[in-house]
Amino acid sequence: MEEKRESLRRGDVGAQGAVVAPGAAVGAGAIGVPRASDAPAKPSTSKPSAFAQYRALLGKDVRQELRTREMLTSMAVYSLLVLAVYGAALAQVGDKLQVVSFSGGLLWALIVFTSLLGLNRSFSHETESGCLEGILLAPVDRAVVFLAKTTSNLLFLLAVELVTVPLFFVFFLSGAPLSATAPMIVLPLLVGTVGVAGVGTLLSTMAIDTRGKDVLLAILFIPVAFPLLYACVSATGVALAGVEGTFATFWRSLALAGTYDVVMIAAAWGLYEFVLDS
Amino acid sequence: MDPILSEVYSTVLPAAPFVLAAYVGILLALFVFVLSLWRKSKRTEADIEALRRALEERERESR
Amino acid sequence: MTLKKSNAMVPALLVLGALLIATDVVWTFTLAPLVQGARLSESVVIAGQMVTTKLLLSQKIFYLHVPVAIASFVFMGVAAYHALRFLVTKDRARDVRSRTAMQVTLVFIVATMISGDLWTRFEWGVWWVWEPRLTTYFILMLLVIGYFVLRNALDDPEKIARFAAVFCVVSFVDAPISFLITRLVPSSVHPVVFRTDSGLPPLMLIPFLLGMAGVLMVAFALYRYALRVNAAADEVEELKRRLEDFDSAASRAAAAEALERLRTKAATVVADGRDGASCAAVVSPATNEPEEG
Repeated sequence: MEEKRESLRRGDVGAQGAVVAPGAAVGAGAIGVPRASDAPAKPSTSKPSAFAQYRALLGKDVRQELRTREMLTSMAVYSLLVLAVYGAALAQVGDKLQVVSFSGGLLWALIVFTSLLGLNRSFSHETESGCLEGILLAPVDRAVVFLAKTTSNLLFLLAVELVTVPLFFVFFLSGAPLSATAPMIVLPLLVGTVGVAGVGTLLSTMAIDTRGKDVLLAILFIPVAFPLLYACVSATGVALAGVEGTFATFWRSLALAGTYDVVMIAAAWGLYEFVLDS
Repeated sequence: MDPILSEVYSTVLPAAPFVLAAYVGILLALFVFVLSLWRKSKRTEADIEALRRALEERERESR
Repeated sequence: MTLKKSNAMVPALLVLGALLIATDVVWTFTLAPLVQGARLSESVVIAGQMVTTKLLLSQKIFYLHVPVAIASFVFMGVAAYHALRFLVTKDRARDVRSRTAMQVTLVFIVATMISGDLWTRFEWGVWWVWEPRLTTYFILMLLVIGYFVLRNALDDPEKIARFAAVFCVVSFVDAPISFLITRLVPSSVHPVVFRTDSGLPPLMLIPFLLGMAGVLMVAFALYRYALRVNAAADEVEELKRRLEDFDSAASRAAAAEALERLRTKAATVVADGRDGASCAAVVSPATNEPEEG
């Protein structure tokens, strides 16, 4: 453990070292791990506030991803592939079928599959470079780690959705009459993605160390996220269809999804410390 | 039978096999559980005996 | 209560529970009135009462199906309670209890799904309908299966217990949310069937309550039995581990001993070689490097 910490400071950790280490060192400095320069004489002064720690961790993740853009591109490509599968699945359908009626469901299925990929990859960076252990050695509150991780996952998922949702519209809804309320799908997309990020962060932290971690994440995630999915599909479907007088359903589904978010993220937040090795 | 009465009870006979199957199904699930527990307990009893004996042997040898 | 006392209670509970269930079933098919179904074309008088609808037999499934469903959820609660206590106390006994309760939950969920599915098949003529209760129980089953998949995917026993406990708590929080959401989100395609089983007449309420009590007792008896079997299995693992430790310690000691002997032998040979003429004949075999391990 001590060697890993040293090597993290010296910045020679694996292939990603060049990218990770400066970020980690900066982050470590902000978190409060004494840097090599002031190691011998004085201990670090007061621990930086929780918010500063949060910002540092979040900044590290975002900076790393912006530098390599690996995760974003693979997720975008993956959503294109899912759309291709949808194309094959719906090719024989012809003009008679009202795609708009179940496009909400199709869109959310796409989001779930892409998110599963993204959640796992965000953690595989950390385990490969030993960064997670470095973070845990620092006196960071576990809840802050959870929040930072969740926020970074949320940002990535939203970024991918910025690409995926327009693509979905292009491929499947170009000919269809879109109602005036279609832009309102932004709301369930936002609420749903928050829930996915929160629950997904907790579950992917558990799944990283296992064999077959992608399958395991799916097995754990999908039943837990099912209620959220159900509510979001309902809201999205209503918004896309735009039928008069159905908007009560939209708000109710959105409220239910919001309730899910609050309850499950609170639970995940509280349980996160038990999932990180100390 | 009076046609109206036969209409009243018209769903009873068709339903009967399902009702029976439902009750039997519940009992079957419980029974399978108990059976698997019983088989496992037989195996572990034998294992515990063997392991305890082996452990005692080793302890005796080392003394 | 102590383990011994509750162990003694188990056979009694099992018998009592079975009796209660039997009473429930018999009552169901004899005294409990049939429930009303679709309207008749004409009303008729049966046994002095005006009957305007068809009478359903299939509703009788409810008398055992619902107690079983409730029992499965109760035991999931027990599992979640033990999981929380485990996370706080790190006591392995809690983990065994949590795991056993989840096993009982799984069995009762399967029983619920079987009876519920048969009921659906009869009522709707299809084998599956995405209605709130069936959907929620399906998700519940997936959650419990996921719990056991998670346990099998890890190697470190301490991690297994910890992660499983976390997932158990998450599942237990998720289950009622799932039920609420599937109920409250109106579905445009499938009509939501709200089974209002409230306001049961006493002739129906009593067998239901008897069945409920009976099922809970049987479930508890099964839980205790399963607990004993699981604790025994854990003991086997513990004994195996101790045996392994013993063997590895013994072989390490033997290897160390062998090394010592070779060293002393080499030392005496060197000492002899210094003042002996036959050093060549003695040293060469003695300089053979000892085998590793």
